[in-house]
This record gives sequence, structure tokens and C-alpha cells, in this order.
Amino acid sequence: MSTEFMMDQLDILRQEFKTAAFAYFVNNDRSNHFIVIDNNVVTEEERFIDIQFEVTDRFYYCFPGETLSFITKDRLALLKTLEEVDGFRVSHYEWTQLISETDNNFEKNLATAGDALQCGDIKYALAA
Amino acid sequence: MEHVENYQIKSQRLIKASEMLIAGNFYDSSLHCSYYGVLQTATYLLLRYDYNGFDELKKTFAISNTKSKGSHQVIWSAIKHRAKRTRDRKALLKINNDIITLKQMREDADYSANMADEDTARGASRLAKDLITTLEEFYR
Repeated sequence: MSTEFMMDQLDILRQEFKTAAFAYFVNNDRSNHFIVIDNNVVTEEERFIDIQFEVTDRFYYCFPGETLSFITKDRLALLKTLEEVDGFRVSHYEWTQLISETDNNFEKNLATAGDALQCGDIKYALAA
Repeated sequence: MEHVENYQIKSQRLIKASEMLIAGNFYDSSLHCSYYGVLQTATYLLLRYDYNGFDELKKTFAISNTKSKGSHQVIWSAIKHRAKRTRDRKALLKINNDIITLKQMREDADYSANMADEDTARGASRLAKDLITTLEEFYR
């Protein structure tokens, strides 16, 4: 149930902060949840702090026996046993960059974009 | 009356031990000490300034929850409660995020078959020292 809650929050974060990419990891007994963010600039934004606060508060209210942490990608590297529930996706910003950088073959790019969007699960690493 | 200052001494010893264990390549054990170093500082601060002993602490933070809470969770709940009172939202989020990260690192080290590496142990040590500083700043 907390995993469903987390997936909903992840969608909200992805819609709200299009210049960042988010991923969701959990520990083996599904009691410690981690939202991972790839963008250190966004983490300093007041709006992100507001939403982080709201999500955290709501999470502890709904699931008092579990924990939620927002961490950056470098911190994720320190946690060795987490399971990936929903990985990094290309952010809107990176996606438009990708398209504009290869704009000389626009039709081909459009076809690629369509395929990828249908898949809906583009890994962040693929765009790097 | 408990000598609450001893928790602070234990914390300092644990942090020192975590550094010595890294130097000796005992990375899993070092992670364990880093986490407990922070826990002992949190215990010291709570008992020194906010609560008259563990019983009062447990009564305040264990009864309201239907799930039974372990002593660690009671301490972290009390710390977050204290942090909330300061209305410093950034610091509260940082404490929440860092405590859970360090707690997970300790669980990785103690309860999984994975062996910690030097980078992880050093990362935990830095995180622990940073957290101790943040916690102490809350009580200044």
C-alpha cells in the first residue's frame, strides 16, 4: 500500500519538476522508502522543499511504522541492498535537449520519440 | 539519576572507533559505529534537555502508535518532534533524510550478506559527523 502511495507521489514530482529526474527505491522488507533525485539545483528550490515536506508529512501520517527519505544520486551509491521499484526517466528538459541536438533529422527523431514515449520507461542512463 | 553526559562520551568514542575501524579495513563494523555514534548523541541531547529519562521518552512516543516501536524509532521520532518545533523546515528534512539513509546503511552492514567497501564506510562516517553537528545546532 505504501508502494502505491509512493508511485503516486513520484508522478506528482515528475509533473511538477520537469528539469529533474526521479527514481524510487525500497529496502528488502519494504519499510524504508527512498525517492532519489538527480538534480542538486532542484533540491534547493523552495517549491521542492514545500512538496518534499508535504509528501513526508503525509507519508508518516499514513504509514507511521515506515520511513521515507529523499536522497541524491550520490547518496544512492552508498546504499547497496535497495530494490529499484521505478527507475530514472528522461526529464522533459533532457528530452527536449536530446531532440534539439539532433534536429537535422527531425522526422527520424519524431519516430524515435514516439516509440520511446509509448514504452514509457526510458532509463535516465540511456539519455546520458 | 542517570549520568546523561556518558551518552555523549559514548558517541565520541563510537565516532573515533568508526575512523579506527576504517583505518583497519573493518568497513562493516565502522558503519555500525557511525550509526550508533549519532544515536548516542541524539539520546544525550534528548535526555539532557527534553526528557527526564528513557521512560518518559518511551511513554511520549510509543503509546500513540498502535505498532510497537523499537527504542531507535522512539529516539528518532523524538528528534523529529523536536526539530518540528524549531520550524526550520530545511533542517528537519535534512535530519529525516540523513537519519534514514544512515539507518539503512547500518542495516545493510549488519543484516545483509553484502560486505561494505571503504567508500561506503567513509561516506557513513562523514554523514554521521554531519548529522551530529546538525543535531547539536538544534540544541544551541
